[in-house]
Amino acid sequence: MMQRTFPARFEELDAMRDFVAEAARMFGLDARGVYNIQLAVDEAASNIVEHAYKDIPDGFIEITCRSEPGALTITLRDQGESFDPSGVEHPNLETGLDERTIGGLGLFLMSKLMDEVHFQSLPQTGNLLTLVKRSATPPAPTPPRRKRAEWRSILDLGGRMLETESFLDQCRSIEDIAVELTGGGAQLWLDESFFRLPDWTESGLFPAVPSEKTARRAREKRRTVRATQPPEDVVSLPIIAQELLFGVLTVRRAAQDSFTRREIQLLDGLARQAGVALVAAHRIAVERFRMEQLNLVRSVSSQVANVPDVDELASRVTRLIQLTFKYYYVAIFTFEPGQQALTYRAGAGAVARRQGAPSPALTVALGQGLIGLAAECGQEILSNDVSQEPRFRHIDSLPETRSEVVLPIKNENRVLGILDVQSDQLHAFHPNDLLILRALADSISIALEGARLYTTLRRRADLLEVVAGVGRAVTSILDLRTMMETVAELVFERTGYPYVHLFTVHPNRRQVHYQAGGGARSAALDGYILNLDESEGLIPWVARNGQTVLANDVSREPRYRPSPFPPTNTQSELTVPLIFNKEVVGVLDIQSDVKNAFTEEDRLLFEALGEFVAAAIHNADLYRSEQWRRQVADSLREVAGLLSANASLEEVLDRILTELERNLPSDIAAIWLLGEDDMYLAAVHGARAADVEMSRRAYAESNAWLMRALLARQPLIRREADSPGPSGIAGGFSSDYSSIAAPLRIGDQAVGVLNLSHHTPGRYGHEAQAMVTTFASYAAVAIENARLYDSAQEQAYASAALLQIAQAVVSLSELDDILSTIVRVLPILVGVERAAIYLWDADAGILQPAQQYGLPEELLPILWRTLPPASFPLLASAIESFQPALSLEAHLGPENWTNLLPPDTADTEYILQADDRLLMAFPLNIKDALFGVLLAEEAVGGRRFRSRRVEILTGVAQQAAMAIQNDRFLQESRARERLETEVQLARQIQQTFIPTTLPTFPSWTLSTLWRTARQMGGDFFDIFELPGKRLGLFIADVADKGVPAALFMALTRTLVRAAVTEIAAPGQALQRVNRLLYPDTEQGMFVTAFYGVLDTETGLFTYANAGHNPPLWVRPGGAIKRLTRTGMALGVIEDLDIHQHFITLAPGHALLIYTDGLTEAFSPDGALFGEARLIETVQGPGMDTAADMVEQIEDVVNAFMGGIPPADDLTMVVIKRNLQAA
Amino acid sequence: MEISTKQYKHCDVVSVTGRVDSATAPKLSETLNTLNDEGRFKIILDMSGTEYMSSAGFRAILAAHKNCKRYNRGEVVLALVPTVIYEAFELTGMTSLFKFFDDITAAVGSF
Repeated sequence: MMQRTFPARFEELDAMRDFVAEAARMFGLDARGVYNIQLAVDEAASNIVEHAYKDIPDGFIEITCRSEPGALTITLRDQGESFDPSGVEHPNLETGLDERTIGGLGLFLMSKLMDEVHFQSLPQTGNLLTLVKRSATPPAPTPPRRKRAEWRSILDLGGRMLETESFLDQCRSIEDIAVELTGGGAQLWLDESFFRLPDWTESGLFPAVPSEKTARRAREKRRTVRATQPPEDVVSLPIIAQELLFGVLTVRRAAQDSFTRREIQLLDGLARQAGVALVAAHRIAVERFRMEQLNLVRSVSSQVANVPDVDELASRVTRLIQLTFKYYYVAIFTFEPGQQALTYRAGAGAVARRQGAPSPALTVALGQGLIGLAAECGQEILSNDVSQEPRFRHIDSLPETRSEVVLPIKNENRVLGILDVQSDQLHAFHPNDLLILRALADSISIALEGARLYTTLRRRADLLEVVAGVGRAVTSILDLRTMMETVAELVFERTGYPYVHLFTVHPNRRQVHYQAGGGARSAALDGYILNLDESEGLIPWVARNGQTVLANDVSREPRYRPSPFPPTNTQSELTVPLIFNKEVVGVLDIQSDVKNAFTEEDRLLFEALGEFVAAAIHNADLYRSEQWRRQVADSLREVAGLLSANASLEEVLDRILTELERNLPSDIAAIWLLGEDDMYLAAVHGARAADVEMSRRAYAESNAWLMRALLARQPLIRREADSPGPSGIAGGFSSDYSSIAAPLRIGDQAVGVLNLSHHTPGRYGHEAQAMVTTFASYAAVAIENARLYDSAQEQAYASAALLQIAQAVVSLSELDDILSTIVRVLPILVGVERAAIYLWDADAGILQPAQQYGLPEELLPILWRTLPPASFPLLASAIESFQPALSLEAHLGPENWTNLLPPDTADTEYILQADDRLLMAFPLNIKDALFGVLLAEEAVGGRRFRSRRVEILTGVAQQAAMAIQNDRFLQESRARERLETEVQLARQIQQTFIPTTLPTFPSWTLSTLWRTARQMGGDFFDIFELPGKRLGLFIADVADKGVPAALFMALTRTLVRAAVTEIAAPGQALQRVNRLLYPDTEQGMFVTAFYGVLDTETGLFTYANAGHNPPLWVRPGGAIKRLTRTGMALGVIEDLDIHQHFITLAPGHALLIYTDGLTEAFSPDGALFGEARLIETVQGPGMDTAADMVEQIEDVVNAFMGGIPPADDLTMVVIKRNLQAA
Repeated sequence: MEISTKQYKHCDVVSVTGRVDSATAPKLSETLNTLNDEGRFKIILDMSGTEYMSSAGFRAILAAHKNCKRYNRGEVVLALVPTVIYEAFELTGMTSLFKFFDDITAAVGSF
């Protein structure tokens, strides 16, 4: 029988095939047969690996080959999932390639190759697959029972016994021969202890002493004993070899057929031969057993040699030994250097399979029990009967232990551990076993040493990997928190220490902050802050001193302080400072629940790691401050954006606080502004405005702190000794709270204070100072903007108010309407709740109600009646002093107004700043003339713009006074006045139309005259350049005077300008003007117009004349042509037909365009100037340029008029082409 | 197990020496798949040096053969198959699915 256990891996298939090949060859198969056995076993084993152990690593397959005559039986045993290969459907071999399934082939092959395949699954032994191959030639039939030569058969015995496999078969063959020789019955007794081999599973094959009496006697006497005991003749022959008696052969036959002497001699020979043969066979068996055992040792050794992990190694070794040698229990303990106890590593027991692993003591002290003793003295201890062994310690989970051997696992003289083997039988350990166990212990020691070395290297590699991982983490993660979390996780997971914590050190704040960590305390530690100056505790000490502390036994470390968070099982601690640029920026703290957890090497390694992390913290700090800077920049941009977006002051201040809070630690942020003489809270975050304001009022020293900040050039950072500010008091902060206050300055003028406060100390430094300064300047700009904006608004508002009033005054003719408008407009425009105007009846000395708005209905009988001034002191004060009278008691209500007295103080400044609403009385007077009084009640929230409001109301009062005065004046002279006004206005309008500069063209001269009469006329002209070097000349005379004429002129001019840009032809242009003008003409108003377009290149002049007096075309030599009208005057009929003509102005030609004011000028004797006189003038000499012509004509007309003022406007436009072409 | 491949104009010769079992068959599959991935589907498996092949090897060859024959783009043929392995092929009924050659030249020529 051959048996071997293989790890269940595909890589072992080779070894399995080799193993079964050997058995197959021994069975006598030829090469092809051997191949097929290999193939079958391969398929079976592959199947086990693939299916039975599918999800189970580290399984084993035990292969047993049993060779019997005619049959080779191979069994494969595994502990995996039960998988019956015979249940697999065989592939259909008839199908084509496409339908051919890929699986199932192996099992099919196996079944084809073997003669029998059985599968059995037992919970205790596991799965058993039995493969049987029968030899092709049936076993040689037992030779027919025939009398052979007796001696021959005796001599054959040795050979026959060697052919048999088992000890029992050997015995059978001896008996068989005895039977053959005698034909009687034969019984062999053997001393089993002599033959017993450790791998014998069966026991009690033979009783300790022979049962036959004769046999017993033969054994005792060491000679043949014969007893004839009818009906039997019995002979017992001792089997002796090398002086040792190890058996008795007893033969019996019927008494009547008693043994002959020769038969007894033969039997004696048989006994001797049997003795020799048994000894020989035994020797072979022992040899084979040893080989097998050594193979097992080799197998165990080879399987454990490369297991890197000590626990894994121990677990495998114990399982292998237990499984291979069938011991009751096998365990391995290791002895760690520097420890006083052995550590249980692994155990495997027969019981373990059924009842779960026993739970032996996890540690065994040196000298304690057999194991401790063996470890202490380094000697093997064998106890063949543990009940007789006083040092034996009974373990409940191993109740059946009878004998035990404890072998030290040694390397040179160092005890590395203990191999403990227990048996449930007495005297279970044969010297052979011990040899093997010792050999195993030696193998284990090598493997253990290897594993330790590996573990150390592995650990070192792990740690280096941690360092590398940390390196990666710190270079790739910029966020400090994330980086530290990654580092802590790496260290925690890779090193296996139960507590790994990372802290940052903040020397300014004298604090150590927990940042990240791993282990049972890390959750509780979140947000934990240590005092840097704490006298106890390793972390603060290390943070202060920058030196690593390694405490392998914290109970002996005076600086050690237990963690405030459970669990409290720290035994050793390694605290490493994280130093960058000689500054401790953090602390790496590692704690272990065992003593001596850290080596010097660990310390160096973690220090190296600490440097990485320190650099990373520094980097992250840089990054963070960079990010912070960016965020600050963003914030500044935000605020700047708001500033330029013209947001309200409130909005800007609020945003400034919000942005500051984003960038700096702040519990309460406030902006104080300087009012007229005191600070007021303009914006606050983090507290109720009232509380903060109250704190300032209640505590003078808090105000002092603000005032100090207001006057400072730099932001003030609060020291602990400083008195608390309003925010600190309102927030109820402890005396060491942080606060920073920056003055808000516009130019050199301090306008307020920006103040941040935080309840913890040391929050503000240089950065905060710089930033607060920046934001303070923004705030100042905002305030300045807001003030400018306010004043601009105020300005606009004042103008608007006055304008509205002015408009009302000028647009309304009835005084009542004017005054009514004033009292109604005031509440809308100037923030007045109620307004009333009383008129002063100078004759009666009383005030008469004129117009009011908003007076309560029920109070009208009191307030709205004819009032003697004395009954309303405020009004009396105003009309007596000719000054506005202001009362601060408007809130008392209109029912009390008549009781209000004007304040006797002249401190108007005080009144203007007061919070209370005003009741105001303004005298309506012009110089000394009093016309009445204006009473106005301020609306709620009127403090804003108050002084401006008073000014406006004063202005309104003046307007009202003027209106009243005007009304009185205008009673008489309204018409004349208005006319005067109108003429002036119209003249102004007219004047604005006349071009002030004239275009110039080469080869042409252009000159104009526009003289107005005292009574306004309707002349106007326009000269404009047109595209293509053309020149537009337009002249018109509106047949009306005054403002309507002026407006009509304005309209006409605009329409002409519009028309000529679209329409090139003058006739059509005028038609268009007419069409547009027509709807606006009224009361027979019309306009005569002349419009011509001159091409300055060619001299072509295209014109249309709408009822205008004809211009004169003057040619050299005095030839005159009148450009008579081509159509009717504009504005008379809707559809006007205006033709256009053209002439060419050649060099030397001139054109005079004029209005009737020229020809209708009168001489003092009443003669008309007339066209003839004009023609005569232009035909005269000295008319070289346009200007010459205009001057001379004017001179002639002036002379003709003889100094009397012109009755009508006079307009001339002259254009003349130079004689020589340019 | 050792595998070497040699590329011919029309086909590839894959020589497998040593033992092919569950442990080594994946490598054979990988080699054959790589060839397929490169667009080579005419494959001669030279088994003159193959000492042993279990069903895992058969499976690898069968899978490759199926893939090669798809769209008529090629096939796997077997050359110089040792008797013991051929007998196993026969047992599984796979001999009908493959072409067997007694020399490489003939196998190369068959494509």
